Amino acid sequence: MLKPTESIKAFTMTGSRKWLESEPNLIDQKKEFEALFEQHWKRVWAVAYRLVGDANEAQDVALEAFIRLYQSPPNEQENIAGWLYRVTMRLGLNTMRARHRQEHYEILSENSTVTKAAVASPEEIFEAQIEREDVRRVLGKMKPRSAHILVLRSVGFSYAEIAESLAVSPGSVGTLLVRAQREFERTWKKLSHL
Amino acid sequence: MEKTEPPVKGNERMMKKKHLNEGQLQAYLDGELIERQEAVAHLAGCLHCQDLLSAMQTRNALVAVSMERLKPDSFAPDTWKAYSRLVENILSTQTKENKIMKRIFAPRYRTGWVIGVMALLIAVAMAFAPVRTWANNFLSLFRVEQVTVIEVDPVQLAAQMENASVDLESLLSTNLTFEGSKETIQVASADEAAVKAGFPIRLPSAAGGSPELEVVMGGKMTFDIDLPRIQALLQAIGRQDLVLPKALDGATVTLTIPPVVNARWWDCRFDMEAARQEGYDPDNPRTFPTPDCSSLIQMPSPTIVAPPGVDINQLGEIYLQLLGMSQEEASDYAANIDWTSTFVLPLPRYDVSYRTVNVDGVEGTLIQDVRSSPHDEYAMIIWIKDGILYALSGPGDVVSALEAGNSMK
Repeated sequence: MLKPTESIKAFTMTGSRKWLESEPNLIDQKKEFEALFEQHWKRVWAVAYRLVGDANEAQDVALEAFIRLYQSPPNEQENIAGWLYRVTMRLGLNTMRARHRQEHYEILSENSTVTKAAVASPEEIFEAQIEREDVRRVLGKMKPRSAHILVLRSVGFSYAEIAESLAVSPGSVGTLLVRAQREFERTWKKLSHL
Repeated sequence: MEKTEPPVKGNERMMKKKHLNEGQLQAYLDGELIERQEAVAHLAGCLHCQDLLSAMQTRNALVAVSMERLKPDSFAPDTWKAYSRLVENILSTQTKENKIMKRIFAPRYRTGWVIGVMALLIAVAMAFAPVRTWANNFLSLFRVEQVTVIEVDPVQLAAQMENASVDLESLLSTNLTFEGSKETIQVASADEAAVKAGFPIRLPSAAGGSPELEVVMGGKMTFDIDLPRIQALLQAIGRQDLVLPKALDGATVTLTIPPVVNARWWDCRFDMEAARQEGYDPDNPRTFPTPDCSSLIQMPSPTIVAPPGVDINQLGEIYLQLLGMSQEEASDYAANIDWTSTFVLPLPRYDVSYRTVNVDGVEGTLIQDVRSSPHDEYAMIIWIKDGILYALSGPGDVVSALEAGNSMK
């Protein structure tokens, strides 16, 4: 069982090579933690980027998620990947909301022409101008779980992966996506004062 | 597009009777539906499902186009460069966060922490005085009967407060008056403490020995609410989005702080001067030795009198938002709390764990420092029984903390 705390401790204590050699278990754990980082880094960053919209800021958020994994890892029954993405989402949403609060800007910009979306056809929507920050504003107003599922999907998570991350059955992912999309549309309309 | 197969017997049910639900249609659109062939067959002959699908496609398009806009225009930073930054960050935050935690749990602050919690309660109650309107429409009474916990981000809160500390001090110094005695009286026995404090003193028999006892007499605190200044304070911490009700301006809030009895076992004193001479860094309590010290603080629940006509839930929501909740979360949470009797205790997220425990015949909250190593465990239990608030804290594991709490006499 992976214990990130132990692994990273082993990693940060590389000062004594001898000590490491005498603790083969810790070397394994270090490798396991590295593998975990390698496996998830890019996607964790991609999730963070969608919320904060800046490569460096996304890196900070993503690193913070891994730091938290190190500092207080989930208990053993919990799915580590799922936990990691949830924490990333929460950190990203917090960062994003803090910025929106500072901007004092709670309605969508007039540049986004998709305000007609309610009655538009898919073709019209594809042609519409949508401001990035407006999308984030909508995500920020949604239930975190709904925003989470939309972001994971847009990063390219399969249903199976989404199910794992949300700790639900794969069969219910479709329904959850429908709900999240409804909420997205509703929130969009609300913020566009439709 | 997949080849549509002619309906076969096994698909009859799905085709004829059972429409696809939205979840299945979504999975179909996403290429994730396991029974894809059956769905294709059903869709071919079902107008109902076709209509539903096309309505869904519009919403799917809106979300897809929107989310597409959030795609990064650069690649993710190199994995191994990021990994080495991670290690660097961990090493640096370790020192920083330990500092905050150790500060809270440091021996010389432990008692201070509990008092601090009470002070926070006071401050909170002053700014967010919950109110029950009485028939005579005079004043309202607030009494802590239970404690509930929410998690906050300590680093963020500390940063907010730093921005506002000067304003806060001047606000409190001009608008706050205190009548009574802040004096601490050492007493020889529980009976003497009870006479001085005016309520029966209980001690955990499991703790053994005879604790050092002291009584802090308490008094009456009055705070005049100066709304523009509080609003300016919120602005200073970047929370101009939080607006306090106008009705609060000029109102006077009175807090009665009952006598507090503090019992301490073993040596709790910490000689700052001696420590400094021995080279301890006063700003880094992490380096201080941990004395074997447990303490039990008990006090009758403080009461607060505030003007009527204030929306309790609204104030509660603002309080929760101030602690870092989003507006929606705060509104959900606030609606489920009886603000007239519940104190919402903010605890640093990730640093401490807490849970509800049965102690002393009632429900209490157990708080533990999750960072501490097994031989340096520290636990605190807070509970309220018969109108008296107890906070028992000390080194040791949960079991011994509960044992002590359950042996109250």
